[in-house]
Amino acid sequence: MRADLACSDAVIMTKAIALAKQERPPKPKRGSAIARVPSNAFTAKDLAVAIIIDKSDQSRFIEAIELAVERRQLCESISWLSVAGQRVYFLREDISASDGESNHSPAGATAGEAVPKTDALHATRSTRLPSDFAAAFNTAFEKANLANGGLNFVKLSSLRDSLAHLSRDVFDAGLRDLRLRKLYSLESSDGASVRLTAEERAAGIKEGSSLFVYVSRR
Amino acid sequence: MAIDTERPSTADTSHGAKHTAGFFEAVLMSNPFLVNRINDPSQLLSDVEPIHADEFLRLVSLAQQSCSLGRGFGALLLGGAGTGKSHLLARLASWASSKCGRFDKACFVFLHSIHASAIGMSRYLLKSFMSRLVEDRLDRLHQTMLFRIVDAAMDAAATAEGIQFLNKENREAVYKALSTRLGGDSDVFAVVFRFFCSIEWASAIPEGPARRRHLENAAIAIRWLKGDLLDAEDARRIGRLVLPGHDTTQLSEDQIETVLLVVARLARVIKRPVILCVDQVDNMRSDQFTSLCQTLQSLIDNSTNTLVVVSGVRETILQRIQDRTLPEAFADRVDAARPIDVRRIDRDAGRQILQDRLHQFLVPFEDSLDVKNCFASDALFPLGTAWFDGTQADAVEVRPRDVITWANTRWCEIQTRLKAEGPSNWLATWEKTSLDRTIPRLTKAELIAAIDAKVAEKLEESLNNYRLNRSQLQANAGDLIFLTKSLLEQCLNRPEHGYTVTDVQERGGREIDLRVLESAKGRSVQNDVQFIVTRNKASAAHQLRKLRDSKGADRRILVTEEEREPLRPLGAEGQQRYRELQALGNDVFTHVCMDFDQFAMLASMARVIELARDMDLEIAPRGFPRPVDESQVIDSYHRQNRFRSMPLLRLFLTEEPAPEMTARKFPRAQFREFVLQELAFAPPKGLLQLIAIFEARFPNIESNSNDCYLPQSVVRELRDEGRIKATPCDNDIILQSA
Repeated sequence: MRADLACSDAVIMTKAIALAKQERPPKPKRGSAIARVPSNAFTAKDLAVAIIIDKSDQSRFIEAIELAVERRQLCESISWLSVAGQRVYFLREDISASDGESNHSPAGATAGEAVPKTDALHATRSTRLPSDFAAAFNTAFEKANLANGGLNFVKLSSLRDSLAHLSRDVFDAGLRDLRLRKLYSLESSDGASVRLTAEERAAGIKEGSSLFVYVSRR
Repeated sequence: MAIDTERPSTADTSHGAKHTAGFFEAVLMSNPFLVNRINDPSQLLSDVEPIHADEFLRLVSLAQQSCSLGRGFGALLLGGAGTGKSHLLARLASWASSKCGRFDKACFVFLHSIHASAIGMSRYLLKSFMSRLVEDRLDRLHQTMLFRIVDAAMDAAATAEGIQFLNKENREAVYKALSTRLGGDSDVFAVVFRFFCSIEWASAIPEGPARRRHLENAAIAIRWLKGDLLDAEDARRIGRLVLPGHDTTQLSEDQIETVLLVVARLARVIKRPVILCVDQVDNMRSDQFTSLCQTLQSLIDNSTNTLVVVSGVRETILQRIQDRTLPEAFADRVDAARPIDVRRIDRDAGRQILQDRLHQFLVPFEDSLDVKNCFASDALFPLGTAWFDGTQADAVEVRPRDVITWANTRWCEIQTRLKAEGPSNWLATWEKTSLDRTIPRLTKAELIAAIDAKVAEKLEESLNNYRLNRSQLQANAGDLIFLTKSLLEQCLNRPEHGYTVTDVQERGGREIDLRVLESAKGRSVQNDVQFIVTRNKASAAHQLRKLRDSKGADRRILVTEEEREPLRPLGAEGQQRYRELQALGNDVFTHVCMDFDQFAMLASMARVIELARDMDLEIAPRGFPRPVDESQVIDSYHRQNRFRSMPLLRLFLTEEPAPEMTARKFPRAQFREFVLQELAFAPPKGLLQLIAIFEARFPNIESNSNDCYLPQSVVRELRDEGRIKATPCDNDIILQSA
């Protein structure tokens, strides 16, 4: 098996998942998020071990999968979600098979392109994101961060200004997606050292009792 | 989870039923989610290691590298309020105090709430550092960190010299070899060695005058190493000389850093790093902060094995980097471009925090079939997974403190339902939640009541914390002056409260410490205040003379901290000056003898204001946290008459006489035994709960005898002996068996 296969190749990925199901069913761990992940979801390493014998080729296979995800070139029949900071891959058809269970997905499980149903993810799903949102956001962040002395602590208001062509809903849903993928993090203001303007407050994101006004890259 | 849900049980035996009853009683009487912040790193009761694991490993790695590479390192620990910075430092403290061979993995010193002026910062830092190393436990000096470091370093040096056992014949030679090898200030080394030898000599002889004299010498050495003034007699006892024309001797400015470096070098002999953490630096004034940075920078540059961790709220610290209050050179030393970020956590991590605390709570009841079954069906029993998933479900990132606050609110709800429905009915429907998920709107009166209650709890918590960790509050005139001045300033221009104070001026130098002006009975009154917190006779006499000679004073007020640094015995001149002041009469001269609790209450009032400034003070109606700001705390102090209730402040605020205060005390031995029995094989309990049980069980207890102590003192004693863990929380202290 060639390790530098195109992970857009549905046949190979489907085969890898099928083999992984046979060889390494993940053990449920009581009380942890992993316990609730369907047993047909696997890490890239699980898939590599299932389908490739040579260890060095396994690493290349894992890299190829990660690259395909970054470039959004993963085949359409495969999806991933992030659990405890680690991507697990599964067949889309397996989601619909266990749709009933997916309502109990852990809140800590974060979504890739196709995701199980959770309240937290409905907002992302219901708002259609432009395909280049992440890239546009990264660029806006880098620019604002540089202007701010590179402290990795940028006000949401300046990012909204930079991405003014996006509606508030699209911006919020896109940022939420990036946070779920643990690429960015939000923080509120302590109010003691920095006095925020009304505009800066208005640009904030309210979650529970927190008003987030800063963004930093993880 | 240690609860074995796989173990077969066919029926709940009487043994199991007893455990079930015990579980319900524990749910009603305690709450594992009361503690939602760490005041002291020794209070780490619960820890989920995977949370902020990378940040922790980075700190440990820096500490280890500082020792292995032989250089100082700095780190900047940043995060929002409630994200777990202090918790991470507590984890670091726990790692440092774990044993590797005979000795702790690192020498850990934690400082917060620094009150020093910018000028006195290095001296303050030294005093705080040394106080932590000797823990103000002069009765047990051989157990202190400082003694253990020197002892281990001497052992290592002896081994290097081919000596198997240290004894009085070879000790001097080993010390000389060690000090030559380490280099540095020989005076400081000599006093450190005198401290070590005094304790060794004392431990080799039975109780008596000679032993006491050795221990006194060790205490004098500590005072010199802390930077205190020594008079000629005390100086001679530790081999120091007073220069001709001087009454006293003291560490020079140059030697201040040297003491820190000598301690660090001794730790390096046994391959241990020194970790100095300064938490909540965002609370400091700009000039204080800059001075602190300069002192720490020098320490990093000159140390061979020290990690300095500076921790604070990200927004404030980054603002200080931008406005250069945090000097650029120091920013380089602490790698400010790559700070250690303590971020909010995802919900799954929040779930793990709850599981960890529930685990500790449930373990004593693992023989209960009901508990075991419920836990098997839901790992968040008795909170419930459905409740957790439904609580602020839209939140992507949460603060650990928020998750604990939600659980605390849920636990109170469970207690209410359990009381109303009884155990059987509750058990049948325990998963139900009636939690109102709308953010509550409080009326003004409700808000004020909630703030007053929270402020009262936090004051008591801080007071208990100081009572348990006395070394966190130095017996220091500088601190007392700062606290008195800053609290009195909150009473200026507040005519609605009828205070008499009109101005507060810090003087110092050749003048008295503080001048407080009052407008009483239609006339202006000048109060000149001198704080004497020293055992040095010459210094005390000098300060009494300043107070006597103060010009224009209507009242002269002497303040002393009698519990740890009593004014007496005074020397001949001091006695004369004191008699002269007394001769002025009670209307003109007042001596305020403060005990530790009064000092600690002043510090607690300042501390709670700092907590609010740091966004660390919150009320949480129905589990929704809402910050209480600095002005709201101060308003609460005014409403609750807290300024007037402090005997020292009261002198300048009102002409009315002070009310009588009495403290509840219990027979020491009986209360000790009772506490240990109640905590054995049981979940944590609050001290207030234990006091209530004790009073109910022994209603006719005699509390006036000499052997009666404050319950907090008994708790501190048991904690110091390592028999219990004690965590101040709100107005209570959570206790559990060690």
